[in-house]
Amino acid sequence: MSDTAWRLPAHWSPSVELLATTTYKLIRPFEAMALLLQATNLFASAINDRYKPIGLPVVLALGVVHLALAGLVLRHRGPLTRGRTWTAAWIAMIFVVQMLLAHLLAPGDFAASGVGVPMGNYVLIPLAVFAFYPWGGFRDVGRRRLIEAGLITAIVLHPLLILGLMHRWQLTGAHVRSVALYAGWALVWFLVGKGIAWLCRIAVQVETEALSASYNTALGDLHTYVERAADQIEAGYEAREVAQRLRQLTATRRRQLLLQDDHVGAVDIFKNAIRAHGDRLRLLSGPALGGLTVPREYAILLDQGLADLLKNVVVHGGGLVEMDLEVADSTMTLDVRDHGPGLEPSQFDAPGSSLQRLRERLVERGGDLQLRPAPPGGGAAVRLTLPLQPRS
Amino acid sequence: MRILVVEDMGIAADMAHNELTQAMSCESVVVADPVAALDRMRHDHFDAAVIDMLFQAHSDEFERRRRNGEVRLTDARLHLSGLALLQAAGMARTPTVLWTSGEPNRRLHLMFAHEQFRCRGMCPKEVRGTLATAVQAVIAGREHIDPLLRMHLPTRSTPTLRETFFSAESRRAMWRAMALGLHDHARIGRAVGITAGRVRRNVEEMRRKLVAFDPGCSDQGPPTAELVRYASQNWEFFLDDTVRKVYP
Repeated sequence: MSDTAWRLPAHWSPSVELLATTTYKLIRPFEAMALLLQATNLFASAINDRYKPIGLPVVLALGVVHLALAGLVLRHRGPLTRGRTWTAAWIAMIFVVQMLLAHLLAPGDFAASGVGVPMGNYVLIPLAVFAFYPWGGFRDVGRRRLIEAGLITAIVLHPLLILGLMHRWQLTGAHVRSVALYAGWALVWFLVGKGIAWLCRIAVQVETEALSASYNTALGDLHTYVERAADQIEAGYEAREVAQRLRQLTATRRRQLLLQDDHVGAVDIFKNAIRAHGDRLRLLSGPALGGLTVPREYAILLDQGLADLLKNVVVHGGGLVEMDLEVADSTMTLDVRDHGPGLEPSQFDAPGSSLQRLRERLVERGGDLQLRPAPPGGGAAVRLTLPLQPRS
Repeated sequence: MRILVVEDMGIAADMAHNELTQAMSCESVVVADPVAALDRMRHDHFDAAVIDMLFQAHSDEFERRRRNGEVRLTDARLHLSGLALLQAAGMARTPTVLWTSGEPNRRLHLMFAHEQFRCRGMCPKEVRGTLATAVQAVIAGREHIDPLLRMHLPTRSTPTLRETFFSAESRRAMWRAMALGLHDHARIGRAVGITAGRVRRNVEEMRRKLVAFDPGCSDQGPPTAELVRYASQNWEFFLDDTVRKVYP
């Protein structure tokens, strides 16, 4: 197992890839939650169980360590996605802590009540995470079942081993009942993990179906419009007008498809925004964008911003535009200049105007929209700033 | 004057042919298949070439094999694109115009054409009436890059493709393995011929270079997931046959 351990099968499908991505995103908070519950379990045990004098500070210290680990995992990554060594270390830690606590309990207290194993949940909570985790990948079912069976067996038999070592294998009926009950709970926790994995698969399936439906709708509409446009041209409509309407529709549909991606090429956003206006907009100079991509939530905002700014250029700015873009410290700065009569500050600042609405949306995301001093030769110049990553 | 037009889409090929023959009174030879075009370039002389970047039939067939896990990094030929024709035209000293729609999956190809083959003729399919001007410019040794396609070029301060992706042999092989759809370190390592540990040690630096090249990529979270996402999104480039020839 490694960084992204679930392997894509030879005949992979997008839904398998989506399932891998979704599982990978869920596993980190799930691991952090398990460590948090383990910490809670340790603190509860410090209150409820009887320990030797040295036992109490050890249990409390372990609780604090688990709390810190939960925070670290939530902020960075958990053991399952860090590779075999870290996963093995977590599993080993679980067994060692259970063994240690059993020896720190008051003599004879471990699994002696007949109603379960003290600190049993400390081991069983991570079992839910292990049941969720796709050991060996999504298609290698045999390997996954083998690993899961091995883990359950080891977890169930471990208290027996502890009891055997502590009582030289002289087990009482209460001991056996405790371990049997513990085994039952192990099964329950395992099924909880499997249930969560099942919900995850349902969520992925729903998302895939919704995505597929939206593609079908977009393409179905497009086909209808193309057929209608052909009919209109045959019926003698002005071909240029029909072409303009088709171009606008294509640009809209292209935008919808483009903005489905996690990361969208900046150049594609710009080109689409320019294409939508056909020959009513002429690009005098464009920004050098290279391989820059924009995360989807910012891409949507950039796309809307460009649509508003270029519409202004077409309607008020004479249709000629110059654009320049710079990226520094993960923030893009876009300068847009037209060759129209210019834009008065009072027009720019007018409450409720499209530019002010755009500015509000940009400010919400850590960006801004400013009117720049009129450039030599006239025209309006505005500057749009937008971060490329969420601000921590 | 003879101009070779390599274009697989019928409507676009007709548009190019009509525009060139009307504006330049030249002979335009239209070839739809890139393999056939490479053959023509080896045997015939052309005064200029107009080259499309991706060829749907080749891309679809390659993508089917990639999804089925049938592509190996050691295969004799990987994904064939207009870069192969551009390289052949460069060797034959034939002035060339890239004639492309510049869709998302051609983004890195255009940058590579500019950076590696010094391609100075780029014309978008959607802008009518500029192809002949572009061809005349490259024949005269002048640059003609349409403002729409110029946006594909990086700023001077952006690291080059070579610095970002191709600086070390093992790292470019790792990019290719990830573009094949391999996700875990062990399998990437096996495909590349290095250990999983070495893959793990490389990914952080590879991600750092990627973020310097494309600040929109995330520098948070697991590096391999980000690299795999990027490689999968741009598989047409990382598995390009000509890119592999230039950077084995």
